[in-house]
Amino acid sequence: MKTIKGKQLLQGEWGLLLILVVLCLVFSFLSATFSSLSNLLNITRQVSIVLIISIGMLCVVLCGEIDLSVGSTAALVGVGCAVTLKATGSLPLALLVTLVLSLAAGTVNGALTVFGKIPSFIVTLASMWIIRGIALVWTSGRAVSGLPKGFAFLGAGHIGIIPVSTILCLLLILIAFFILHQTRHGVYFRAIGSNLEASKLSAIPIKKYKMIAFIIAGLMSGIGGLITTSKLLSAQAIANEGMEMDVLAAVILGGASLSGGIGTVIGTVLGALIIGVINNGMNQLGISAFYQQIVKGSIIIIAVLVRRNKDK
Amino acid sequence: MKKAVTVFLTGLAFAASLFANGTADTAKEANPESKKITIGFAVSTLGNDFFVMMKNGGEEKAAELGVNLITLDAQDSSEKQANQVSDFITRKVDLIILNPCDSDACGTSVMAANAAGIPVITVTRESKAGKVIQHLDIDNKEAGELVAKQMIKDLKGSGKVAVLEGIPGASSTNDRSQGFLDGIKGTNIKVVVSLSANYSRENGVTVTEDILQGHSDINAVYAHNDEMALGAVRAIDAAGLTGKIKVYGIDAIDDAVTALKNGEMTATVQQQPKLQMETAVQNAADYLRGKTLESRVNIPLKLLTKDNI
Amino acid sequence: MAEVLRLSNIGKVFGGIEALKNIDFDLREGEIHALLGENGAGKSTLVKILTGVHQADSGEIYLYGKKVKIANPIEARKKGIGVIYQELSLINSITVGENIFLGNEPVSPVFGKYDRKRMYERSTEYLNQFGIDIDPKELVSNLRMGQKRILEIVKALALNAKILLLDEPTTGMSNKEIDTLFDIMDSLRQKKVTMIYISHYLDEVFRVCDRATVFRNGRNITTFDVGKTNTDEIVMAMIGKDVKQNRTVPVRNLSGKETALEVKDFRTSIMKSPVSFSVKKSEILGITGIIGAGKSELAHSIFGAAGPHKGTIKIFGKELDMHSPIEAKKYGLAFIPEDRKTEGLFLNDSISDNIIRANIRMIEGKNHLLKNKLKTKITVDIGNKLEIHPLEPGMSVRNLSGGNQQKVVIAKWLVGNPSVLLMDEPTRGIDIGAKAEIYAHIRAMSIQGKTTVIMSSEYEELLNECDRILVLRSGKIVGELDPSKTSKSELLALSLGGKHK
Repeated sequence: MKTIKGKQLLQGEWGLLLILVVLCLVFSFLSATFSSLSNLLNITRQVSIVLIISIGMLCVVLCGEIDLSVGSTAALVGVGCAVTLKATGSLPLALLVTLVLSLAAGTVNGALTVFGKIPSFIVTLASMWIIRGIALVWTSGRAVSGLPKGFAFLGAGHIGIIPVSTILCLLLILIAFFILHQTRHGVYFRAIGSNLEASKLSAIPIKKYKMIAFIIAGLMSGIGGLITTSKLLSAQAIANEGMEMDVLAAVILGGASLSGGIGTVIGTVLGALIIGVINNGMNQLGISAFYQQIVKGSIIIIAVLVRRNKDK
Repeated sequence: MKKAVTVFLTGLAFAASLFANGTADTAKEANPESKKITIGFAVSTLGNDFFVMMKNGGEEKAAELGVNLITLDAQDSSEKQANQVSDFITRKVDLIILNPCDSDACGTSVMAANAAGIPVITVTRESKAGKVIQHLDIDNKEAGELVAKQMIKDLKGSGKVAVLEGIPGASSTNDRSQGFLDGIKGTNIKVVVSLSANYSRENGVTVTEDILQGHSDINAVYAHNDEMALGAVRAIDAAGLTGKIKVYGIDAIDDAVTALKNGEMTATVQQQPKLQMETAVQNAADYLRGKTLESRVNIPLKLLTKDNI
Repeated sequence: MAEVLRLSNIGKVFGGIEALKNIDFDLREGEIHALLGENGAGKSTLVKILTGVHQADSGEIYLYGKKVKIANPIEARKKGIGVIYQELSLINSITVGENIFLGNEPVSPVFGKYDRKRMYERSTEYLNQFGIDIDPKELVSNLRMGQKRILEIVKALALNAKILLLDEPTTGMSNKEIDTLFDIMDSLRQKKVTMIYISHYLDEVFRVCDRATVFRNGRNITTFDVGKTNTDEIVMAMIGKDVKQNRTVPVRNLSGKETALEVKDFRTSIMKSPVSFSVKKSEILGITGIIGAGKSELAHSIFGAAGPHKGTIKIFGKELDMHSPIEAKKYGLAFIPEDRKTEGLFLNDSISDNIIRANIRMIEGKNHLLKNKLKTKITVDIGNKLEIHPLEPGMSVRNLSGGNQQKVVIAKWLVGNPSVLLMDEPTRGIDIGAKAEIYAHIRAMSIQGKTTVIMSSEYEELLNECDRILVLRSGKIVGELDPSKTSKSELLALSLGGKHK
């Protein structure tokens, strides 16, 4: 009989942790600089954007939905923030615009899915194009630069030796862990994704929670876009291109199921870290771009297989 | 209701993607009866300031000459570009100005235009197949050489360099690489690492961050274009190494010029995208009015540093 | 009338159980012959033998006087035996005509190309022949359920069926469509097509059938001449000796109690006629009827889990908007649905997770943290009360037996202390011991003052446990009975309808 332990934190995650450790060992062995503290912190900074957005995606996926527009939202929010900052020089105002755009994107996605009853795949596929289109029109395809140097603190700054974006990412992970695993909200997300009918008949507010999931996704995407803009000290409509794929990869690699109901914060963190380590390690080794793609794809398949076997 | 909203969304998305593809100028179609010339400009990507400047230059010149210039953006995809050239042929434009995404892949498109009797002018990158009436070159090799020359001056002939490469396989990447390597031959300047950042500013940051882990003692970064160079600038700044590592780029986009002014970048190469496109449009109009053209035009390059902006 | 079919001493055993025993049966040309019996009596086994899905273990089949073997469905079809099952065999994404000729398409002689013109011509012929007003070029997905059933018949006829078996054909049909169906059956009769008609609706049987055969426990009990019999005779044949049970649960007098649930003029898109009833506090009300009578729809609708409705629902005098289960729960309603696996449980989760799911706020602390220890305690408490075995809170609910799973669903709602419980077939698929336990708990809850409405088709249980029984037929309440004074045969007769003495 298979028992679900009280601590349902590290089930299939052990397999992921194993893979992560193995990868780190291999890269440390092959590259002199991989395992230096500075590089490890570098990796955490590099994955922070993907990881933050992945948290938003996790909420949506737990409900049995999907959000393909995360990259586009990040780009639009970044543009909005940069334009506001450049025009007014006011950081609070820029942050307000960031917040408004993020919430707007999430709300529209959520409303069309929940109330328009259109499959989220279609809604967010369309919004993926539309939102990026809006960003392109807004900027006429040109980068928005000339932002105050101090603004780079968020994406490129440090507190002590730890990158600021890492700290922010850690904070958001802790909040997500708390909400998704320790409160009823996480239970509701999972219930809705695992059995919609039973959830309805158990008096769980389905519409409300799906809306919340999409709004969280929009918010996280916005934060990701904000950090990107800060890091580059400029915003481009083409920023974060392909981000949705990286985010989905992290979430799925981390053990979430696209049909809903299954997924953990720790798994997502490990998934993002594995991909981040692979990217960084290959760069450290100077592996050509041609090979990097093949290696990355292969490692991901192997990781999924290992994780699945560990589950049994 | 649900069906109607889906259709509306799809239509809206489709319209937006057309928008995102660049301006489809619906003003006046090519009309053999009227004297107005229509030129189709198939640009590789408008996500790069260099080409945006080209487009602006082209449009100004076209307005001045009373010529209709339609621009389609392939977003760096060879497949998209092939479709777009095909569209131009179907619309029976008078001439196509092509900025290939990839010098090999665009061959069939050029040959198709040839077969349809539409003349083709290439800018910035060549097409390896098919016949063009003119190619306007920005000699990427020469650009690489100019950077090398300046770097030798700045580093006094010796030092460690990291290279940020453009899109793997693009002819511009290969040429900018080769030109630079030729330029530093025989000196004590060594390339310690060379990685692709795909001509993107975002990738430029990430790759430079990674490079700095293993090679924090480099003296300079040579990026095949300004977008990547600007990314490198941010990573260097985050590591607190501004001023210690010189950054070189190519394209002379506005942000790079700003970076030169405030000392974040050391040099860039002006390939005069505006001038290139203005010349292309002028030559196109001339050709359609009966003039013969030289097969090759080299737009003069200019190395820009803080001193000579 | 000539005899088209004769079955002689047919027997069929499935895994040691005699599904059919010594069946003699005959069918006369052009008659409409009803086949009646309770679930499990052997009707569908007979149909499967006639259509070649199963082979009889013993006995012979004679078709037009000649002994035959029906080895498989294709042979059955070739011999002119057609069947209309309850589950439709139409393909929704293609047209009416294409469905009629599915597998049988007329092709042009040259390249074997699909001759659509001819196909539509012949479809129109068929449809006109029976006066059916459906456009052969219409997509099947656009048809109503009733039209789809009629189309099934046309499809069988296109395959030259001479003997047609119809299994519950009027399910989901409007009255007008049923009329059309019967007209078609009448004209088929004129054309000497013979029909076997399986149905629970005795009104229909009395309306359109010539003879009726009743099966019970795999045996052919008797064949009636429909014009000369009545419902009670038929019901007697269906259930045999109606042994009056001795009720073990004492009858109660609830006249002084207040009204817990009042349903007035309740109508939904499916239940077209208004339903009204009320239930007193701590009463155990049984609502019965055959499958399709509307019990489940009623339960879902009262709980707010179905479409919009008209009429009023009051809980202890307070009127409900009833647009959602969330509201129903607030007013003290609970619903234990029919299909526990898909509607009641989260199979991937543990017992305790399932039990707490409808009332998570109970284990929420001040800081929104969930108290797992409290969750376990609640699980153990209620699990002991309901005797859930094995009571391991962390164990996956998937591993419990059906009876215990059902108890988990009940526990899920009891945790929140509801005042009115709606239960849809609460003891289906559960062993006898668990059934007794569940009813014991329902009685215990009743003593505590909770009101229970049980939708069920298990007549014996309802007769034993309930204070009152309502009979539902075709969405209407057709009887209100005192369990201590009625019998299974009376319940069945009311459920089936038809002619009474």
